[in-house]
Amino acid sequence: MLWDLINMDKLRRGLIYAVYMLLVLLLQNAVFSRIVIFGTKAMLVPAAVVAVGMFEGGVWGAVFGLFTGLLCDKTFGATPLFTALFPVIGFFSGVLSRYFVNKRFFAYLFVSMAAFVLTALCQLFPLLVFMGQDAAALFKTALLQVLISLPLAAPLYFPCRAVGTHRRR
Amino acid sequence: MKDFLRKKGIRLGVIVLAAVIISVASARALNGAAGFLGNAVGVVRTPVHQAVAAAADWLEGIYGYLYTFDQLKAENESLKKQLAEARQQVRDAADALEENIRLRELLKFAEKHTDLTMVSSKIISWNSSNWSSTFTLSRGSDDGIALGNSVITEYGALVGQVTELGSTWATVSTVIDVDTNVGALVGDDGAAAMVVGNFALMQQGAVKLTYLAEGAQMFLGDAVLTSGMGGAFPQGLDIGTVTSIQSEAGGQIEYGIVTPSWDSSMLVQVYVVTDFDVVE
Repeated sequence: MLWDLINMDKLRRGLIYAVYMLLVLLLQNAVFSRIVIFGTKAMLVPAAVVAVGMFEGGVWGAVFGLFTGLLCDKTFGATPLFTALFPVIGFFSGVLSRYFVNKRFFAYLFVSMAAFVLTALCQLFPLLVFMGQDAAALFKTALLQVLISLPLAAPLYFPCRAVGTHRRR
Repeated sequence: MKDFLRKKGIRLGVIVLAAVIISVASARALNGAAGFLGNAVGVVRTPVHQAVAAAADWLEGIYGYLYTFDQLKAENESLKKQLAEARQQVRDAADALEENIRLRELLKFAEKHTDLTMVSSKIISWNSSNWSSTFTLSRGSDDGIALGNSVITEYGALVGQVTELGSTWATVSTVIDVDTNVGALVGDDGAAAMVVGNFALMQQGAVKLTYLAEGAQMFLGDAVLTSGMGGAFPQGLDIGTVTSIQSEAGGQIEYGIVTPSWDSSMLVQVYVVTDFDVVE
């Protein structure tokens, strides 16, 4: 009886996205923490949140963003920044893909770039405002982080597209 | 049959007897060397024998291969395993050797600083953020580590401070992190100053030396040590060396750029100072 109440399709998708999230976090922490390009490391996680938001809608994007943000803050964030930021990114990715942009690859890259910019700005904000660090150095790092992350985030689009396309059939 | 034996038998017997006699006689005459006939037979026989022997060897090889294949396969697997174990032992030995060198250096340092109680720990991972400089250790509060503990290398160089703690892990903010504030002594005079984190310098793997005591001067190559004031860090830990002297506020204020004595790419194992004598 309880079994009948469970939506198997949603459960299956939830599990797939949970595995996807863990793989992305593993990539971020184990691989991209070691790869330094022009003195900067890539930050891929916002793109994964964007991909889920675009293909599954704002609510799924926000829930995925919440869990991803929580785990990100536990692993490499000293503040609850990502827990607050990623649900917003996930939700608005869903809203954008529903009303304003299509779900194609370049649209994903465009929304991902916006998410990267927003993430970098939120990361530099406390250093700039509360600690008075050098603005030029902060913005240079933010720009490099966005530029380096964008091409590396491209492969994150395809698993979500595969799951999303399968669902629509 | 009788006619055949009668006609041919006697002749055949004579021929055989003659051949035997010739053979015996020639063998005696040649004293072991082959005669024409023997030689001819040998010439023809040898390659045939060789071919037969080769074929026999080949067949024997196939038989042996079929018969011993499983045995060889098992032996091969066993040897591969032994080789892998031997390689692992070599790697372990290399690791042990490196650890031994580190511990020897630590021993020299510990002999000089008998007040320090230390816990060794391996670095599990470096933070993937561009906005801070932190790494995670493989030991935590279960091993006696506490928040605020100093983290040093085997040479006594200050690496950072424990800023987050779990039961089996600890996060260390390095001395180049933007949040760093360490009291320091500079140069031979031991002039008081502060080592303060700076974002732009963190990207270059360095830290800022500022608030130098009035009238004191710093020089390139000056050693920068922890002052121990305030009780956060033990006294006399090596923070780094002054590698550049700059000025700010229109040349009014002079500050130094300190490059730490450790290289993040070479750090494998560090030592957490869990207890030390506080300087009053």
